[in-house]
Amino acid sequence: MSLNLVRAFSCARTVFAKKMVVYAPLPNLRNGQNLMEHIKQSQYAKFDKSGAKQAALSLHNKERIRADDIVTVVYKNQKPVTGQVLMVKRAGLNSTILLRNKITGLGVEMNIPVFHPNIIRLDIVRRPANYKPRNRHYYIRNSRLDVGELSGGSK
Amino acid sequence: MIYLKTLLKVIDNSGAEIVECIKVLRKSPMNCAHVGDKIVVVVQEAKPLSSQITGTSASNRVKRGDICRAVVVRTKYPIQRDDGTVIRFDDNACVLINQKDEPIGTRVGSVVARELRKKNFNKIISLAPRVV
Amino acid sequence: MSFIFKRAQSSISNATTALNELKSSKQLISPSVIPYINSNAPITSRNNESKRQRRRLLERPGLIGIKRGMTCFFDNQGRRLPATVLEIIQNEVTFTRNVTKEGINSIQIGAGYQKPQNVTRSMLGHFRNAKVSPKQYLSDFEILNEDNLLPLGTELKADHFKIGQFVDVISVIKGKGMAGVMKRWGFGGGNASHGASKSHRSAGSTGQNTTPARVLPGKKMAGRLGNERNTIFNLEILDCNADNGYILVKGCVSGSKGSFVEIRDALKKYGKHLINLNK
Repeated sequence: MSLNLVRAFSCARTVFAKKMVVYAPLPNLRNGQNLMEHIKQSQYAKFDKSGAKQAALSLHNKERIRADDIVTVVYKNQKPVTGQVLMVKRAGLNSTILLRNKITGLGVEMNIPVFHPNIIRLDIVRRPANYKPRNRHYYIRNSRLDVGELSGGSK
Repeated sequence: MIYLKTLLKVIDNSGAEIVECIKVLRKSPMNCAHVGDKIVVVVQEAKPLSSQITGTSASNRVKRGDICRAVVVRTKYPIQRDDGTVIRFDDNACVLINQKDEPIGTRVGSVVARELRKKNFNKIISLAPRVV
Repeated sequence: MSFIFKRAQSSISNATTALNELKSSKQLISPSVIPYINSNAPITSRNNESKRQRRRLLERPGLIGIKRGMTCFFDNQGRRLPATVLEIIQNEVTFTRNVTKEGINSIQIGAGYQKPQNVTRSMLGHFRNAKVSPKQYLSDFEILNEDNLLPLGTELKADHFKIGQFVDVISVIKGKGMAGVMKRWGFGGGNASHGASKSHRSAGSTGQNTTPARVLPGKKMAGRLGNERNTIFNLEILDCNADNGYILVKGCVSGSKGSFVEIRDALKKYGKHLINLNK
């Protein structure tokens, strides 16, 4: 009996030793492009056809929007918003700029998503003579460096 | 973030300058008021009464220690809108209202948030010099 | 089963007719005079088949995705919404069970790709039977009907779901390791000062004294946190793209980037009980 078992086992081993059939995987999508990168690019293609908004934020662009600039955001369906840039957050489609302005003597800050489809364009109204050596200008709030009453037309 | 003991600026011509929140209406005690929410306030500082003011504005004047209702029009705490814009003001401010949600004063001095329109405070919106 | 059911129903209907007769008579009757309705005790059968009948099930299987990260999504009304990117690749049917043979209607779906040399021979045989490539992750989705079973090797793509529908997403929460009661259960902890000594984040008392002289089972204490399956119900599908193999769901999903997630039609919205269908 035990002999039979051993035989059966050895027999089974020889069967297992045969090569297993393995099927090939399905073809790669997007030519192997990283998905997050693909989605980022397709979103840019949809929400920023001209590439102007990307260029305005790109670190490679010398004419990019920087903290200390005065910027007007022009909307399709509402009045334009003007303010001094305190901060630029670069996060793909979720990139925002933080604008500070004074309206009737009161400080108002707006954090605006740049790639929002209702935003037509971003106009740089004025650039400073010298940029401050910081990228985040939160410290100017309620100090002597604070913004004045800014309006879109002043150049 | 307006709750018990918060001091707010009053931006209408009702005579009050600074008020203190004593109750947030229609919210649980743990919650706080945002723009468009109604609160109950005590007038802490008021403009002195002068004989020059006449008419309706004179009858609607409030004094120090008066308890009235108010609606929050600006907050220091950021407000996030549906389109992703976040807006923040430098101070907390309110407008005094009566039991029918109409403003007591006849003028609104400075900027108010757009969220008031959703809560049907159209009178305040139309009086304000600037709506953001 | 059905016989017992009918009997229960008939007894209830008898009682209700008696009640209606009472109501129809024009006399005023105090509610306390209304006779009891003789209802049978609820029938809960514990065998697998009746359990299956009581379970809420879907008509079709779900998909297996890989969480790739988060982004934002602008919808037609101009709203900005948070969105999670789930990659749908190599989703194929690897195995099915039917109710007559295995007592359950289910479709096993595999996702991802694994090198054959990293897969055991028994699993290689499993994949060979379905004529699919070796998969990284397998999951069973129970379905309502035997008719909806899919043939082995069927490929499922991201357009399985429609834009605007709701899904449940099941995944494994990030492991937090050994965590104290404040983090694990949200306890208040102790005082920061006022003479507090070595008990700023402690759990406090764990029970009473001589009675019951033990800690009751289920007492919330410090221990391992996270690393368990979690379902997020009713997430909206914002976008799906079969050609590029991804879907975007509104909001966030448990787990780290690169982890496998199971996505199914929202059970609470689209699920049905067999017991109700058979009535």
